[in-house]
Amino acid sequence: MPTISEANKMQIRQPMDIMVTLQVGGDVSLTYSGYSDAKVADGRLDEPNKKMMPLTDLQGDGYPLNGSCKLYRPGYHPTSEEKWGERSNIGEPCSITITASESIGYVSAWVSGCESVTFSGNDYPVVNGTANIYVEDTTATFTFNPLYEDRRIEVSLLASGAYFIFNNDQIISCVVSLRSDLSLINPTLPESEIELQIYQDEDISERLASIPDETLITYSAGYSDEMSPIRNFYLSEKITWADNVMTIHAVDAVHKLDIQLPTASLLTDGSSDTGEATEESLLVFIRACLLYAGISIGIMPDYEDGASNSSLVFNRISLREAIAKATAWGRFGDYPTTWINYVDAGIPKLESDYSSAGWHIYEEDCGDVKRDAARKIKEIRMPVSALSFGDGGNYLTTNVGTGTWIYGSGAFLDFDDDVFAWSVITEQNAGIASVKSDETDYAGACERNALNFLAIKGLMEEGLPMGSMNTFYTQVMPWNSLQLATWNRYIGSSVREDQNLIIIGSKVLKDTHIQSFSTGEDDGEIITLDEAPIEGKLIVQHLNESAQTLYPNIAAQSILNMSNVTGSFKWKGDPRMQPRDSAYLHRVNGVTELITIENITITHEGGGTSAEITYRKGKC
Amino acid sequence: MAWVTPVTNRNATARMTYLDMNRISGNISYLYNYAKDHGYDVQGDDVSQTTWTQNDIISYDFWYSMTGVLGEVREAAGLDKSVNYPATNYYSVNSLERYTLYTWMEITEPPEYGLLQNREGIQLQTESGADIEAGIL
Repeated sequence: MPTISEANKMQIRQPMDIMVTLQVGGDVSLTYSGYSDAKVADGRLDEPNKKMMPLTDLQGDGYPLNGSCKLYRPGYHPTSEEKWGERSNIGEPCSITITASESIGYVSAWVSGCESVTFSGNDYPVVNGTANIYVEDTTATFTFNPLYEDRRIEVSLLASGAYFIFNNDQIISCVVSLRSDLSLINPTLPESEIELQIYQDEDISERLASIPDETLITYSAGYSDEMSPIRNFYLSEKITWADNVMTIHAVDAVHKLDIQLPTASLLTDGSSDTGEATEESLLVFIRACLLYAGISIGIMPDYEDGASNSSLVFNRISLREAIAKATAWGRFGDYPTTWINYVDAGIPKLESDYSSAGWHIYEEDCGDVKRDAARKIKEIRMPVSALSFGDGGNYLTTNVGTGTWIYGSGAFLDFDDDVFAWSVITEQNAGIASVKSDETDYAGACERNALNFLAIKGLMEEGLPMGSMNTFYTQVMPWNSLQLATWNRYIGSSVREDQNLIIIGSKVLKDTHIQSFSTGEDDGEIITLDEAPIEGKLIVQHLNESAQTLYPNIAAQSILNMSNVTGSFKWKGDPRMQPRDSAYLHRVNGVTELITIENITITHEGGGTSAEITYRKGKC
Repeated sequence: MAWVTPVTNRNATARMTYLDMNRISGNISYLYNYAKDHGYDVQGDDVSQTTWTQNDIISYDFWYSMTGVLGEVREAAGLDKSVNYPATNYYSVNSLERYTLYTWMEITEPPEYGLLQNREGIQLQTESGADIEAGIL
């Protein structure tokens, strides 16, 4: 079998193998209570992400002396990425007993060298290395039956849930759309998706009906000697079934980012250099966003460390929007060495350098290469919002909201607008809570978020604008002993009627002005960007020094440095490619262009593989 | 246990079988017992397993125990003791078998010719890399 790279050099390539998995259920906690007739067992049968460690095993014709196998060491667990699983004596069956505190339901076994699995007197065939068995009881013993006389059975997984593996025999068509956004103008973090049509002999339509959204679908393609990395997608629509063909639609984990930051965030990093500080803070921030959404990127990319006193401020923005903007900040000019990229496409990946994958694509192997050139840009005009504060002193007079004070429950506030300094008073002018510009909450009734106040403090010292202020106060002040004392003092201990409240304060004033960035191309186009919501600004500053707005200001500078040439072509396709990878496009005229891949649509159909690729010229 | 000519010319496509393990462990055991019988002050115990089947998996503890036995024999013979080559790649296993051969040549009286080539016909060399000439041993 060739590798993908070897096959890519062939005029006519062998059809690729496609491997798609679908995991259903899997929410029952299993206990592995017995291993019978095992040569090796390490109890890691519920960990699908760990690979089976190749051992110095003398079964069959022995083990390869190419450094891939490891000596078996009882008492020492394999690495965190590997396991031994359960391995039988050669040519002999082995058994595993599991128990659960509830009905077990579906159990999936991943095996090699195994012909079938016996449970409760029934034999379940192993298909594509997997057997799915339904267990109604809370305990079950499975016997694994050998396929070969001179080899052992290897059980790598026995876990809750059904695990279907589909390959070329069943997959009618598979279209994988891998996407990024190289536009930088109003950037988005687009979703990637997979669309599958799969033939299934066995009627599993009833099982499909119970498969929920977010069910994991994995995809890999290539050749047996080299399959591409596994991409993870999540079911986004109900699986349909007609004439033994199921249609599956799933998207990558980007959709999990459609939630807001839990609070305003201020990140203080350890760098004395703005560029380094920004890189580090943005990387840490993006990872924090991803972890909050339940997306793991594994190892952080390298970044420059620094000394002290720099901060990043984010506020009331969706995780998806925050990450899109964080990857759109300056890549040229002041920060030419920093290049933050985040793409998912089934493999969440955070990079701190321009991708150097360096694929080589020859135009003669492609269909027509279509090129498009946007008009040159003469100037980018960008409406920039800034905030300023009204009177923040001790003489607040403007009504900025109302509320109700309920005996025994607390005060419930309704702010009319974004405000900064404020006081809550009764209609009798009795003060019950206040937050002033000097951060004094002298009534002590209002819970404050320390992180928010850090942000306010940093911003106020420099007078920096940032997002709306109404994330900096609470709208409910719960009843406590202090509220009781205040009520009794100002309203009277015998009074129980609700009290109307008035909020007086200082409004946050918004001002918008046009900021322009020019290229000097007189014949170019003037682009006016949409007004960026102030919540979407990304600001970096050294505390007590001036700040820089990464987005949209510095991102606009990046736009001016990007090529306006885009293109698309059809190619035989490589499932290892990732959006934002760099590639060399060798034109038929002898010119080689560095391009950055934006979108890749890989289609496996009719035994062949092809790809539609869109790109932007140069580094993006 | 009889001495079996070692295999020292594996390449990257080689595989380790139970027959290889029978030979390697048997030869080391042979050297241990030969040395003991001929007055060498060999420390420690003999190799714990010299019969292998397809059903065996080589353990870390066994492999380094076995190479340790060879090291003890070599030390008793005044040779470098460090022969703890891993079992996972062809050149290390070649080296280990080569050292069993060197040790065998050092402590026994091999025939003048006939075993000066390994079974693949490759000229044997001394531990320092010089060709072994018939009759000089």
